[in-house]
Amino acid sequence: MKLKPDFLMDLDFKPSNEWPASVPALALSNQLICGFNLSSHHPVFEHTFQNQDHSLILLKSIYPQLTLPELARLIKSPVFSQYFEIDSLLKAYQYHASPELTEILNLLFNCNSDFQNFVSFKKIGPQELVPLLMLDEDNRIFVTQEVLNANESKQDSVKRIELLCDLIQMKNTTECLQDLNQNQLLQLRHPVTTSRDQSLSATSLPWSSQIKKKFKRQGDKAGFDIQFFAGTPVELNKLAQNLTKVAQEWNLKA
Amino acid sequence: MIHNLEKIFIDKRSVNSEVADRARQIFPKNKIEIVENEPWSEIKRNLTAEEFDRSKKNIFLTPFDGQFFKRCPGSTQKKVLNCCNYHVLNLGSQCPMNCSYCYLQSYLNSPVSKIFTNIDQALSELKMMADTNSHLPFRVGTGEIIDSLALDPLTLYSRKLISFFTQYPKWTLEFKTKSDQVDQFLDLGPSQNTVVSWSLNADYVIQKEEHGTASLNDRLGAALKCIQAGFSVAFHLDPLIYHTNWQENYTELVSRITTQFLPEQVNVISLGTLRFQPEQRHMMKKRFGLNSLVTQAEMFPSEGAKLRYDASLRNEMFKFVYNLFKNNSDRWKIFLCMETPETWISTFEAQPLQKPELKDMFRPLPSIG
Repeated sequence: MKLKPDFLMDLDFKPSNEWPASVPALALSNQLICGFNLSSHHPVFEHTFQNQDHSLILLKSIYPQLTLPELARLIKSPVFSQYFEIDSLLKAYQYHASPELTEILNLLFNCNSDFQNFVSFKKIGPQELVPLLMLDEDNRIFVTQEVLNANESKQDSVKRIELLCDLIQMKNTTECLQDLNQNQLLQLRHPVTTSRDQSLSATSLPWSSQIKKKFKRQGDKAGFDIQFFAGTPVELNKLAQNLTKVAQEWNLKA
Repeated sequence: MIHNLEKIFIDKRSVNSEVADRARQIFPKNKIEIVENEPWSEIKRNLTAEEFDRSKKNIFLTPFDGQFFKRCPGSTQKKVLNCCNYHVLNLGSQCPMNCSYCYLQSYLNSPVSKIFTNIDQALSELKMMADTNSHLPFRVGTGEIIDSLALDPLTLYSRKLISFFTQYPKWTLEFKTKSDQVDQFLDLGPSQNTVVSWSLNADYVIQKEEHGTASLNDRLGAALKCIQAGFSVAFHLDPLIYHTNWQENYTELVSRITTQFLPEQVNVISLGTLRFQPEQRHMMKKRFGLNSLVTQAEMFPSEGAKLRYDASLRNEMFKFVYNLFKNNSDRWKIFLCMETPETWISTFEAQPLQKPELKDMFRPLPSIG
């Protein structure tokens, strides 16, 4: 078994998870394919390169899953095509090769490492990054930085990407969009609906004080989430009468 | 519209078809190529925006091996949408026109437009269905995944279909188009059970979103020609698109219809608002940018997994347009396309089966095809 310095590191795609120090690293002929992070005294088990299919089987057994940024970095490594075939690699990791996916991988490769790590950590998929393809580099940098700064859940991050990309293309300046929260972004993206929602939520209706109501948007519908407690049929009847009255007024004001 | 085609590929198996003959008469030799396989058939994935654009300009004349006749996609969502018993006969796919909201952008995967050359087989299939159900009022449209008439000067399929349907007077043939291509079949009128229908929109929306289509004037002019020749006509005000002056612009559209046509001359008017599959939005933004009423629209997840306007805005738009017609005359027959029972009730205060003029259209029919 040879040691790490005997091998080249051209395939170093900066995998997110570090290779365990207790396990020998692996190489494909003279190229290391894991354990890039390990010290120079680390032993390396060498596989002779046979063909691209074999390399892929080996890679898949070492890394059962790779994120988009990891794939982007691997594909962009200088000796990638000597060892792997791009379409088979993507297929092995459950992606469909397409010009759009290639664009996304290029985009990710050119993003800073913080954003790459964020995409890896949140497991953001290619379709969720498509809106970024429609921006020039400066705006793309702005959006990715905003997403990093907001540090939200995957769902909210993906929403933020699309909202910001849309708003920039709708001629909003990045200065206006900086540091806005999701609600503020939604108000800018959906001004008509926001104003309708505000007007509905502000509608004065004769709610009983025993009914807790909260204005809510649920998909394409806006309305009130209501909650009440009735301890007797009489109480329930009273509340039902109040609700009928509210419905009548709401109808008149609609 | 056929002259916008850049290349006509003829499948070797279709070389002797009538459509191929017509293509050779119409197009110069350098535009025609006989091929053994479908062009760009190596593309086995979703099309890119550029490939989708290219597919509109290249056509492949080829036989179809699948089933031509089927139910409208709306019928598969009966639990959430009211279904109007529409059936479709697909005689090709893709459309030479270029509407920004077109659902084919998320539906088609073929890198080339297609005309199916084996229409006789389609008619045999249809005959089997029609012979066993000739007493039921089925409606069959040819405009689901291709405009019914835009390429008709090339195929002349309208003529075969109109003649075929004369044998089944209870059945209705419906062409649906945004073109003005009707001259090729007018001599076959009068025809009681052929409805030539137009998808109409406000002039402003047509200019901004319905690229390469006939103008409103030309569509209405073609509809008048059809009426004069003895065909029924129908109008689909679909998709109604929200924009700053929508009330003014749709008032103008309805006024154009109500001044040029009588309610009795128009078989039915359907209304629908903008809707599309969520996955389609990226393709639309790539192809049309964000300077479009469609890509800028405020859309929300709705029934049937589609994106739609806010429900109260939809109701307002439906009610507004509906009232424009009804204030003109109570005799206009109007229905909502692919809408939920809730929207029906808030617009019409009734479900379709409670409206006498729509009962026949929405009465459940046995499943065929």
